[in-house]
Amino acid sequence: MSRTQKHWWIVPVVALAMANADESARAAGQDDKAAGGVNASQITAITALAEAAPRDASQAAAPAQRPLAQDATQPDTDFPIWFLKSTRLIDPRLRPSAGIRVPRVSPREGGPLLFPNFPENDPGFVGGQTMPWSIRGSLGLFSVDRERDSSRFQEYRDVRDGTTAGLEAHFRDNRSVFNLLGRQLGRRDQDLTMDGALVGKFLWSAFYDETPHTYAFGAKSLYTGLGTNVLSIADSIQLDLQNSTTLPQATAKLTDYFNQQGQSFDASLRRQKTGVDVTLLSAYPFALKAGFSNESRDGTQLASASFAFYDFSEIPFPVKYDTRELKVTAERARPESRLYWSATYRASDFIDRFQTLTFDNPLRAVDSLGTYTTTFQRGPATGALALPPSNTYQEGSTSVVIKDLPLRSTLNALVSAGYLRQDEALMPFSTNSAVTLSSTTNPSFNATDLAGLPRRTAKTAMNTDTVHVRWTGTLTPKVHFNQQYRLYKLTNHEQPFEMLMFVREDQDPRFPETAGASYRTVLADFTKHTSTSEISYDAPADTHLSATYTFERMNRSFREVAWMNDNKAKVAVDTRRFGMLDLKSWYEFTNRTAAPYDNNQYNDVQGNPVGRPILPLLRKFDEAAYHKHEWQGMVTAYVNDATSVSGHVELVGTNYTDSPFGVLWDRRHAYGVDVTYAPSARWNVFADAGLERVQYEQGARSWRAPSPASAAAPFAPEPGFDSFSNWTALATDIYSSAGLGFEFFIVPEKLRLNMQYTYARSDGQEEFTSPLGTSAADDTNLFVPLPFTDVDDTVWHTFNPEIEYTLSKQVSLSAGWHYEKWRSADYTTDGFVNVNNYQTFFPFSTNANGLAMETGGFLPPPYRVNVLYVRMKVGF
Amino acid sequence: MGSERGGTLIAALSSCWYKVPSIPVPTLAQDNHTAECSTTSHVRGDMTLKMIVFGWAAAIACGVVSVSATPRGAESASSRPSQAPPADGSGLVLPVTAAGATYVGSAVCSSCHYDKFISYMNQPHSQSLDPRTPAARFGCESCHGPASAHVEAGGGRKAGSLMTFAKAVPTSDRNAVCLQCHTRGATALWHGSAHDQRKVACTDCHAVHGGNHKLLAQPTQQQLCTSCHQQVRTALLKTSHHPLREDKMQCTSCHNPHGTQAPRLIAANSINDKCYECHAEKRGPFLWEHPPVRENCLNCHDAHGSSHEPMLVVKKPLLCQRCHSNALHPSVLYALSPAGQPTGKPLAQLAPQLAYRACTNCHVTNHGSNHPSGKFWHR
Repeated sequence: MSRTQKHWWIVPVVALAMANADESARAAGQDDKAAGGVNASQITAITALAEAAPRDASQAAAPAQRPLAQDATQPDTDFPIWFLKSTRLIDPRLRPSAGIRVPRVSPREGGPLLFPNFPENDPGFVGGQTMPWSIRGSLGLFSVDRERDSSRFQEYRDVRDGTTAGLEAHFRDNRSVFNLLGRQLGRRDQDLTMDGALVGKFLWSAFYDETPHTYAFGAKSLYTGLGTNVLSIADSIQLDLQNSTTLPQATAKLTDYFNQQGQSFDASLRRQKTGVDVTLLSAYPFALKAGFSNESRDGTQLASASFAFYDFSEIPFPVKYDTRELKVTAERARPESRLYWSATYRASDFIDRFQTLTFDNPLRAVDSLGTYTTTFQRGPATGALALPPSNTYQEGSTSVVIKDLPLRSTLNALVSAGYLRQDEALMPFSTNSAVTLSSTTNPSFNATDLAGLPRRTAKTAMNTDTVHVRWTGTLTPKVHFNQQYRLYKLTNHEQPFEMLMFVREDQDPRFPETAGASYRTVLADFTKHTSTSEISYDAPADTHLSATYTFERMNRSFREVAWMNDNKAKVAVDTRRFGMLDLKSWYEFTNRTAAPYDNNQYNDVQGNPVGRPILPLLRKFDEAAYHKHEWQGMVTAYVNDATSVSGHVELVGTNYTDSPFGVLWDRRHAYGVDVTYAPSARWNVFADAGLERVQYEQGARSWRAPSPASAAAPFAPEPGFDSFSNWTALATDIYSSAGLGFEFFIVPEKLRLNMQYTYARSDGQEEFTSPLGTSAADDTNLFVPLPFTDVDDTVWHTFNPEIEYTLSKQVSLSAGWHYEKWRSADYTTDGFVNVNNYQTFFPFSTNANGLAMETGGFLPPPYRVNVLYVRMKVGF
Repeated sequence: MGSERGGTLIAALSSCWYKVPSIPVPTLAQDNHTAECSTTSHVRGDMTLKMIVFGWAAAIACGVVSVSATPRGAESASSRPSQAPPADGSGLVLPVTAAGATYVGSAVCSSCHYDKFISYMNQPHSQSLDPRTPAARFGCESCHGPASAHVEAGGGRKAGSLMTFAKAVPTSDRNAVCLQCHTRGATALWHGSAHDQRKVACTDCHAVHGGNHKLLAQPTQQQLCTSCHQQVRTALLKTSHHPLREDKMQCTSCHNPHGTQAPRLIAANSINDKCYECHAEKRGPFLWEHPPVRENCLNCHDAHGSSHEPMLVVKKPLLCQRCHSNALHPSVLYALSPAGQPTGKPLAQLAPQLAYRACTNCHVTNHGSNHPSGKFWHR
């Protein structure tokens, strides 16, 4: 049955609607033509197209009185019916939406209204009706086994036993619109969005969104006071550990206490965001939009903090954040006008309810002075950490677009200024009351007294200024140009925080190594200029060739490299041959040059003006000179109406030209392909595959000085590149992914089978090499290079068959099974224990071993989960 | 405004022929014109300057034509065989079709193109009370042009030279229709944007008939965008990821595919400014800044996903050692027994600078610290 035949009934409906509209128009004192309407004779025309009586353009336009719409869309008519169908996914959590996509070929004539993989009855159904409301509900019953095996399964979602509800509602009449969508209602990942409009007058929207971020199930900690900013360990435990006589004894005690008294907890955040937007359109061509949102984050996150080398404790720190955003935009836009203008003001307040965190040192009950190699024998009883400070950001910006300039060009420009401020009260240098040392230059130093600070509050401030201008136009009918200039300037207005000493890790007083020197805060301050010129040519067969040159200069303050210049040349071709082959490809070469390295800058920051510590010839990768080649190609072939094939290749290579240490080179190769085959409305298949290979090599030099006192030694004897103490790492990550989707209407429009499988895998390894010296004197590198074969290796499978039976236009039932499996292997966590005695990297020091206490929340265990569900969708 | 544009164009024509758009599109500024005043019949993209000048002169002589130098691409849209350009009093340039074609009304279209019509009626384009919608003008024909010739021919492909949005139609032609109206908000900066320069068509992403939410051609943005950016699809499936595949974020949470002033179509002044919108706790400014962090979050993170927690471009400690290989701090990889062999312990228990959180076992506030003793980001 053809579409036209199928909808034969529309003819009388249309006729009736036309008649109604005609009456309405007459009642309004408008004749048919003035209203742009279709008169009675045209009703006949609808039923017999060959006899259609079209109006000409002048009739349509004269006189220009509202409304100009056709009768079919006239207000107050009953025509046409609204289906108000939805294509939103009502429960996207199970199926990774990134892994699969629907066919990109259009449905065949006579096929379903939408793409076959997501037909009109997904998620609900189509209820054709004339009433203005359309409401659909979805209720799912879920049975999930082993849902708490791993937090990874629940990382951003809440899939557990029980019910999951969805709600969708739409309202529409000729003057107003209302839409509502609620997903996973009642769950920790629920969201609700509403929007509406008084047509042509204003728009509004409101939303509420919850997103969990689950870090760990069943993490373990000795700390009490979780969720607060005071984490405590029983004094008796601290005292017992402090009284240990040997490190193995302390390790054994801590292990026992941890196993016996450690409490299990879940580390997770609950992110709730609420917002509302209103846009006033009634002052056309001006529009005024105002939006406000509040996002709160509440929960516990995991981090580490140390007391000395390897004496670190993983601490569950409290998160109680609020971020409030206000944004107001005024806009002037008329489609027929040359000028577009907008101005925006944005204010953002970030509020952290906790500014500081104190956490007990499990190894000490009494403060004592320590050093960076201290173990349980010394150190503070409590440490203190600065949590993220509350801050405010305000931004004003204005932009204009001017069209129809000479050369048929368009100019757009933006100017923006932002102000970022933070002035939280500072905490003392340390909590350690035993730190009473003073230097000769700082005799009054008091670590625990605020009076010892150079100033009491942070007084930090940054401004960001942005200027962007783009001019794009046409030189000849086939030659176009595009010029851009962009300035981004970050100015640091903080007064340097200068101090004569500080306390590292609450136990280790640090003085500048150079007498008379001081420490200063590191300020970030830079300016980036980017200028781009592009010229393009429209070749035959909808082919577009372009060449682009970009110059970018970054000027920086307070860093070792004062400036960097990037010169980029790019050529591109985009073509659509006969509409069936869509090819896009480009190649870009970048040459970065940089200012000479200023080691003094580094030494100044370190408090060592006479310094030497940085590895000679090391160039930090973000400021090193390099040559970069990048090529991408994308091609899509529409083989026929049923089949499309799409492929993608990306090859990137960077060689760091003057840096024998640090990153030497990196390569990134990515390939992708997907195929869509939709031979009929009854079934279709989609498949995709991706492969990405990332590889890089970087070099460094091992340092093993005879003792800390001669720390100058490691590079002084061998200031050049060659050394037996050099090592290089060759790291490779291989990612692969695949997806397969299949849908089959077993009974057309009644019974649908849908299956989806997703696979993703990452395989990393690191290989090390180091030349062997002839003796310890010329090879301070003790390690024998070993390959690390498990570097964040993961494998992930999902499989989700689902069958859906549509009982009627109002009711459908579906049942499905979702299987998901994930596992990982990584050298940093394989063999993990919560309490561990780490071996020092100081082979010369027997006292430098450390004792660490970790929650185990960093890497979730593997999981294998089955989800069975049934879902009923009802609507009217 | 219209006559001013006309004057500008005539001046351009007189002074510099190569600046002339291939086919300027006249727009009727008044409503009492007739088809006889049409000037662009049978014009094509390769028509000569003479024809352009003649046509425009005639049009202006009629006193009814203003010139709208339309966005690039609109001229080729008008290269279709045309009768009078349509007029609805708005000044907009609407598609034109076969010579002599007139408007038949959406109801007629619906008789055959029922699917398309219903999809049109289910979206804001059909809200006739909004004067900015196609429904307030000529309905279907606002975008497809007057259809009488198509109807008289009994329908069918290419009959009546209707404006269609098939892939065979040049991208600029298709886009020009949409860009007539979509000039504000997110689409205001389309001209010269990355997707514009790469000849991406509006209809590559949007299915005006039968589209999903926001008329997207795919159910979610992630599915849509990764149909071209396939390397991102692989990235989104990596273990450490933003919640895109859970549909709690979307591509437009960070990008505006219609054009921005920032690189990579980031919808903010800079990459960091975008990240700070959600991660405001990283915003500072801190007493102790970590400059590479402030300069670009992407120095260390891959926002599309990574196998290295937390979305790091490479694994620690190699990531940190790309910059930090100093004296007074170890740059050894791992400490083994003096014999150079493991002591029997797994690496996770052996080498603290490798195990667990690696460098951030101790350097916890590496995004910046507000602690007076936070110089090395320990506190």
